[in-house]
Amino acid sequence: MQLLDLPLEVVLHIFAQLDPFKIAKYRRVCRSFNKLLIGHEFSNLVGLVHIGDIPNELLFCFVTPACFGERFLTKVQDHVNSVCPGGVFTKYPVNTLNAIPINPVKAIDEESMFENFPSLASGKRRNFCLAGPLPSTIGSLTQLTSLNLPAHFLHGPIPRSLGDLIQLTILNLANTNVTGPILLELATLVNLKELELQHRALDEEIPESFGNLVNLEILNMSRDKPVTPFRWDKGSEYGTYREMPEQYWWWHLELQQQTVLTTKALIEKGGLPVVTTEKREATMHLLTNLKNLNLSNAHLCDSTPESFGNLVKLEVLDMSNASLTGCIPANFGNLVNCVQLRLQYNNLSGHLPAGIGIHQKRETGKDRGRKPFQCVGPLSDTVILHRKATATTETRIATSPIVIERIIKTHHPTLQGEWVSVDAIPAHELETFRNMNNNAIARRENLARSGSYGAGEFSRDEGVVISMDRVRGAGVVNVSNGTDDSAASVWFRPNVASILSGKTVDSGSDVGSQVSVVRDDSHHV
Amino acid sequence: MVRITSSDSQEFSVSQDIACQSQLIKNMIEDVGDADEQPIPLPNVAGAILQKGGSCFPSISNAPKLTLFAVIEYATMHKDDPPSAPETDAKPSTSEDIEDRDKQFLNVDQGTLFEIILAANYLDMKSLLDVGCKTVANMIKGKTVEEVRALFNIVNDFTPEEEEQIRKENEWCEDR
Repeated sequence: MQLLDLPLEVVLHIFAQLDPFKIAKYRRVCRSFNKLLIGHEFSNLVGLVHIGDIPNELLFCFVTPACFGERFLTKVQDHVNSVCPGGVFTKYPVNTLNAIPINPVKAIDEESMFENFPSLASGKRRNFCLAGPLPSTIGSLTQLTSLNLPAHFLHGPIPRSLGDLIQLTILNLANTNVTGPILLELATLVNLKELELQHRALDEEIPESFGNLVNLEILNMSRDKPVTPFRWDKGSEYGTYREMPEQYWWWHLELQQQTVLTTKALIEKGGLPVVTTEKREATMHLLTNLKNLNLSNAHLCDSTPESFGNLVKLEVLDMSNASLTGCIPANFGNLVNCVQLRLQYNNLSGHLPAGIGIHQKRETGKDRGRKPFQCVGPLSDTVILHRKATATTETRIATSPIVIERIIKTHHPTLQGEWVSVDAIPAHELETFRNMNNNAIARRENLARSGSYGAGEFSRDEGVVISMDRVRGAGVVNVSNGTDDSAASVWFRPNVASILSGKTVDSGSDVGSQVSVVRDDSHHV
Repeated sequence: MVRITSSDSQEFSVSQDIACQSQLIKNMIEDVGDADEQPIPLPNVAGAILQKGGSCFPSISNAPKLTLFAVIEYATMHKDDPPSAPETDAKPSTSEDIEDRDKQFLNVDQGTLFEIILAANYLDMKSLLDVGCKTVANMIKGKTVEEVRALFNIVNDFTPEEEEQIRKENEWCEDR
């Protein structure tokens, strides 16, 4: 008779006799041991140390036999006891786990680790959590409902046991440097409402089983570059985080490997992170709870997925800089709840679907009569559409680096009162059109050339053309249409280049590329 | 007296207070009522897994023996123990506190030890199960992974990559 012939509960009983923080190494003995030692039975061996508070949250770090040695843990407990009398060494279960990075555990000796412990005396909020690979013991925290690990120093593969955390409603792995397949594991997390995977290298196709995530409301797989590039100095044991302003913690890591998200599946299989074409309709139905979908910078490299138009609960859809081509599908007009549609920096063409925006509710008071954005004409690039339902915020139309013009007065009957791309206007009409709007253009250019951040006034009768091609800058132009509060205002940053005039106005720093057009549509019927 | 029979139909007659150290038998007796009538069958416990050599405690430690017989001996040995206090969370049991007589009793080959543990588990004899598990735990304690494999004749069924992955996860405790 062999040890492993004994019933599971007996073997567990044997391990229970051993020092919990020494048994983890025996995971390596064989598969049965490994399974046993990372199993639920040992979940109480996953210690959570309350290491401090941040506003509205208790902060824990979790320590597991799998990632910490006994000596270290003893010190942790002693230290925690000394700074927080009464002892706050807490064990599972907790249902929210926030790991705030301070210092890579892997890189530390114990001395430097304790420098970063929260010290109540000093008032400095310093927290730490683990670095290195995510331990597979994470899977034993089965009561977790929220897991925030936006720590850039986590690396290594995602343990499969992550899929065991079936209570999870929020999973944030943004900025982590974890590698390897992950999506398949996540497909079991059917309770997920928020899934943040931005800034990580996804090197796999999205599995069909992702359609199981029927409760998903926020899916963020964007790949923005870090605001502040931060070179992770691999030669340095401790990293250089101390040099970073705290608010940039999240953004530290310079993503040296901008691996392209393989979205072949996305496109071929109906656009959603799901399934084959034949299953598309069903899947659309399944994922219709999605409220926020962020695929910006994801290099989708194909036409805008038509199926997204079925996600009627979407409030934010961001596919900016996603290498989209083709036109915006007509059924995007179904996105009646969408307040933000970001499609800038793509190679889109064609018309904005007529339906976009027409469902917006009429507001009372000042916003009474405000109507949603409409656009005709080809889009040489793309659009961001913001819609805010509140009375105090503006309706925003932002474009870049595209020409979208609003023609207040033109000979072209169908374009009257519309925003168009110059490409939409026949050449001979464009000339007339430009002449009519010369005055406005000149004034706008003067404004831009002056580098002013101020506002200019344009009357409606002038026929306003606002070109924002390659706009870089900030400024405000108020476009008045002659009546009282129905002015459209355009604001952009300095650095305006106009296609219409062929002139480039360079007013300094190239601070940004996003432009917003703020306007009131009430006159625009 | 309570009569119990092993899976190989050997019958043992033990006093009730000894037999009732097994929660299983105790429950059976309570369920059945009069214990003298019928022998209690224990189909999961071999009377003789090996030919009995020794006769009785303490010489049993060196001889092949009967599992049930050994269990009964253990129960006899402990029949005057005070009822075990409910375990407190404050003082977790360690694998160190094994009585000398138990150590001697369980100084047997691995196979027999596991049989006894198995029987104790089946018979629901907590103290024997504990002491048996502690004995095995002591065998593991302080050993390297490789030593544990050798000790229990366990085949490493990981791929090198998998093993390396676990080793990385466990860097903190591997050498401590």
